Amino acid sequence: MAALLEVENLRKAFGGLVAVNDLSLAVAAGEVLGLIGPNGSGKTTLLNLIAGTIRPDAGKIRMAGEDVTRLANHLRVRRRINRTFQLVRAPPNMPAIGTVMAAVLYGAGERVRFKDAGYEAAGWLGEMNVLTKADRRFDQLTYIEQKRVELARALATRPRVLLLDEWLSGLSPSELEGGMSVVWSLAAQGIAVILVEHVMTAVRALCHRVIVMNAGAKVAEGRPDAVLRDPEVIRAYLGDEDA
Amino acid sequence: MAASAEDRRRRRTRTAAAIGALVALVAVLATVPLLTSDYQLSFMVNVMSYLVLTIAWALFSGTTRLVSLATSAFFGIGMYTVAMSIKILPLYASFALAIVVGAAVALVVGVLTLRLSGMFFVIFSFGLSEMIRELMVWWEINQTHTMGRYVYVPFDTTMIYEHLLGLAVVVFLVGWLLRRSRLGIALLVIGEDETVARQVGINVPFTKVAIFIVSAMFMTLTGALMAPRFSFINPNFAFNPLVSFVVVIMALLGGLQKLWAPVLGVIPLIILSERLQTQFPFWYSVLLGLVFMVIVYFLPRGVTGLLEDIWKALGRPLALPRGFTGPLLDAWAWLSRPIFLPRGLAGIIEERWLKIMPRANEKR
Amino acid sequence: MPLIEVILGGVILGGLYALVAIGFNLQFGMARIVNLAYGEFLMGAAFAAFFMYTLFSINPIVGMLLSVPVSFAANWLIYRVLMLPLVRRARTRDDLEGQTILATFGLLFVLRGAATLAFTADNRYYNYLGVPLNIFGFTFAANRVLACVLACIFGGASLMVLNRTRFGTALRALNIDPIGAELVGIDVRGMAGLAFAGGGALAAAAGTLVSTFLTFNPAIGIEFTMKALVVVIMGGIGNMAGCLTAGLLLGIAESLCSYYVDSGLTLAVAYALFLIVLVVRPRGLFGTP
Ligand SMILES: Nc1ncnc2c1ncn2[C@@H]1O[C@H](COP(=O)(O)OP(=O)(O)OP(=O)(O)O)[C@@H](O)[C@H]1O
Ligand SMILES: [Mg+2]
Repeated sequence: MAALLEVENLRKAFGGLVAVNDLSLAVAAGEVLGLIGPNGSGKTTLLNLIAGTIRPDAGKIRMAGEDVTRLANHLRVRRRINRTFQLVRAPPNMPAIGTVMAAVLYGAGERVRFKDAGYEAAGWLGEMNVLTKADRRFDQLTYIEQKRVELARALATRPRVLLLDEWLSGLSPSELEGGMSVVWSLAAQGIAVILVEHVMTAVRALCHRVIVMNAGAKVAEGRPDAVLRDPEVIRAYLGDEDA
Repeated sequence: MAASAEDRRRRRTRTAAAIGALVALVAVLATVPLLTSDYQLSFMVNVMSYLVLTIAWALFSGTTRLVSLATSAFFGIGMYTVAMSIKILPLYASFALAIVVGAAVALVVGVLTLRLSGMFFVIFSFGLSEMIRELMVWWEINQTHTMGRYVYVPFDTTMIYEHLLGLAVVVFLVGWLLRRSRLGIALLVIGEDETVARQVGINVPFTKVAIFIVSAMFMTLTGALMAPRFSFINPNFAFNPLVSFVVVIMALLGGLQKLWAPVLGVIPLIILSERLQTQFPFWYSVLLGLVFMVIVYFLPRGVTGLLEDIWKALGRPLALPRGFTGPLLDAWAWLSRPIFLPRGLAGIIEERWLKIMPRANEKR
Repeated sequence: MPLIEVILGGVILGGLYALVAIGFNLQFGMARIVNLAYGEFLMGAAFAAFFMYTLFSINPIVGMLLSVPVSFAANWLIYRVLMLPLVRRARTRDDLEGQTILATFGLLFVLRGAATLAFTADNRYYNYLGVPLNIFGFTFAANRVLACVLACIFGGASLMVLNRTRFGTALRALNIDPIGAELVGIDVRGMAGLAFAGGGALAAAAGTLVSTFLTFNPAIGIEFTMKALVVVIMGGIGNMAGCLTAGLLLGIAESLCSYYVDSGLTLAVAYALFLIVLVVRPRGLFGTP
């Protein structure tokens, strides 16, 4: 598989703390790449770097062959990279559909007429099963509804690379099943998904490949079942003594 | 389906009523100079100029939630550009020049400060007017050796008033359209969460600068139109920080949620100002400051918020016969719906929703 | 030869600006309140010094014994009565910034109006130590030099308190992480109130010093607030050493401008400097990009 998104030797430090250290990865269309690691290992920071929320200190990010390392966040959205946030984020006082409409109007690339944007946004909310909440203020939705609205917002920009930051965490078992099938269908549509996740059942079931991070660096990469048995990985998660 | 069609019809009637009411209002306002004394006319000129300034202020600050204290800078730029160019340019050309200068300053200030933290913008806007005043004083004394300019043009108070009225209509329309447009949605998202705004593909700095320029152009033009009212203008008069202050008070007093809300702030404050200035001229600044603080502390949502609360407290099922005021109330309610969702959209969604969810329709 | 003299004059002025900015930074950086009425306390102290000197011939430096504590108390009250409700009401930091900007903007007009009422809008001036002083062969006005020396003493003392005492450590914690500070048992609001009051005290000290060598009127407040803001942004919010450097820079730039161009352009200089910093180093002179 040819890589759609390539990350080379990415590095980001906050003061003395190296949050992402010389990390490289590649992900192909239709592939689900798991990104796991203990708390504070730099997963969110890595997603922030790829999405353009923050700038790297060094390294390269290539999207479909184009170097996007220096591109601003909103331009990367138009290059079809999008993400959800670990702590769900959307304008709290706007109705759910407002954000999705903005995404349709600004993120989708081709010019959509204002009138049609409403229909299209409603369509995305429908796809995520939250259309009945379209006119509700975002902060009045339940957690799972917020997550779905946020994903609808990301999808409305028609991403080819989608970065999901613990999108499946905090769900009940039945909600988790629904969420997993959503992610699966995204990959089936040819979207490259990078899935940051602590829920191991989801990682095992969904990911074609897993990268394990620890203290900002990549410590293992491979098929989920193999990687999760790797003693190095277990040490990263449980600390040295237990290994 | 039926409900939807009826809904649409009702909405269309309401729109027509509202537009009709507004046209009638503008027509009445346009005849004001014929009917009133000089004093009343000058009062109306004040109202109109502050109305434009306040709505223009709210266009930018109400949506991006950045408190701009630069109103007096743009107002002054408009006024002083006209004062400087009136001897060499025809009147309307100097108005146009003023707009260009105002837009250029807004562009520079916006590009330099708006892409950074909001704080920088506020700080910059706080001193902008003082700085330009300082520069102009220096320029006039050292380069042109004049301290102040005479503006004698055949542009009397009636003309000023009619132009300001026209400008008020335009700024109102711009605000109205903005709420139903691409740009309007972008501004709402930016105002609530910039990170998300970037993540939906909005060019945040560009959008902010754009609306800042639009808002500044209205302020500049107001200043330009007001210039012929004063026969003698110097920089200290044109760049008066009180203008920024008063505009912020008016906007906050009126409330920011609704487009027409500034009216409720402008009129009482102008009446109050005139009272204060004639009766307690020395207490003016103190009392105005106190009024301002009262608003910040006790009326965070402005008079409109207060009215809304009262309205809610009174309760809707106060079923009086509709009679003559019925359509007016409808127009009122239609105009005063909250800013969050552009109107056109609500209709679309409702329609869509009813189509997809027939049961929700039945339940009603 | 004149260039050096001009620069030294700028350093003397810069010392004063640094003091003004340190006070502002205590309020902005530590107490997290953007006080647009800051300069009004400076102006108030200048008038206090003027009247004490002209009416009772009290030495302005001695007069500080009165004006500084009064300003401290007044600012503490302002924090308690006017700012705390806003602090309680605000949901986010941005929210608080917006609210305090508005409230102190109103306060600015109240105080300035009150001063105009009480003292009239006339320019005031009194002659205190207006004698030439010879230092290393350069001549400076004695009152300016004294102002700079005192500014350095006050500024230095504040820095010592901030860096060397438990109290100062707690204050710096407020700047870095208010929530964390609360978690380790610092009385955040109490401390913020003291920081705010301390800022007001420094404003009064600076105002007294300003009055010894500048003409002033009730409207000078805004100018000093502006300059304090510019210096604080350049030096870094909460960064006192940065304040010192940026203050000196502003003083020198202003001094150069008044020598080579015009002395009426001080605000324009501050703005130009501000803009250069914004463009070249958007995170302040000492910020990490
Ligand atoms: N803006 C920032 N400033 C300073 N340090 C930061 C910043 N963002 C992240 N960090 C630090 O970088 C490290 C990596 O954080 P990151 O959020 O990427 O971890 P994570 O792997 O996503 O953890 P979790 O599983 O808890 O979400 C952490 O030590 C964090 O404290
Ligand atoms: Mg994370």
